[in-house]
Amino acid sequence: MSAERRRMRGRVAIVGAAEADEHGKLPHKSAFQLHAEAARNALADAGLGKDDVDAVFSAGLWMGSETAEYLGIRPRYVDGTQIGG
Amino acid sequence: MSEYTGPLPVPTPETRPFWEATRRHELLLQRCRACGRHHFYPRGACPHCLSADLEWQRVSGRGSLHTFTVVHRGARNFPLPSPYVLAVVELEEGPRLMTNLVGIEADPAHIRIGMPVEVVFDDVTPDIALPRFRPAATAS
Ligand SMILES: [Zn+2]
Repeated sequence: MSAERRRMRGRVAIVGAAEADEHGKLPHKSAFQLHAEAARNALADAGLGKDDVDAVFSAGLWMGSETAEYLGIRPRYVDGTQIGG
Repeated sequence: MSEYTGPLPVPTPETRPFWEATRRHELLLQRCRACGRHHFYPRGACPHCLSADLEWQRVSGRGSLHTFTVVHRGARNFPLPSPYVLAVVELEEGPRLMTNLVGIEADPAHIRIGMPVEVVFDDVTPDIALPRFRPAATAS
């Protein structure tokens, strides 16, 4: 196991999780809006503010960098995964 | 008006009020009711505080030139003949937007960062008017 993984092991946790405000066909909302709703709800679940966030991971059509810009977050790390679901 | 062949914005749920306003030759920004700050581009959450409690506000369209570049070989179908000026304008309300500087020779010798500018609207199709900026008639 790498030194990096040893340092992180047992020290990483999910501290908040949430979904967007509504689901289904939502022609009045953009995908980014749904991302923002889920992020806002997850932060509320965690009791954190957006300025506490230093990495953004995103899935869908956009890389994490666009999602971070939309949310007004300047992360030190971003990643994006192009999968649906 | 000659037939417009350049790229056109595709209004989304978030940007539709902005494009409907430019068609009326009005510039609208979103303002957050929670923190009081304006932002651009239009979106569903305030990038300063994440609140979704947003309102649209008509703004003056005055600002200053934040930065620019002169393009001599333009993209195909770009709506302005080269050379043209790509510009970032900082509005009086704070947000910056990417646009074109028009009404001035596309020559760095005539253009100054910080110069006062004001919005103009170009009706490129019956449905779409693009906001651009020109040197302000009088210093604001
Ligand atoms: Zn706000």
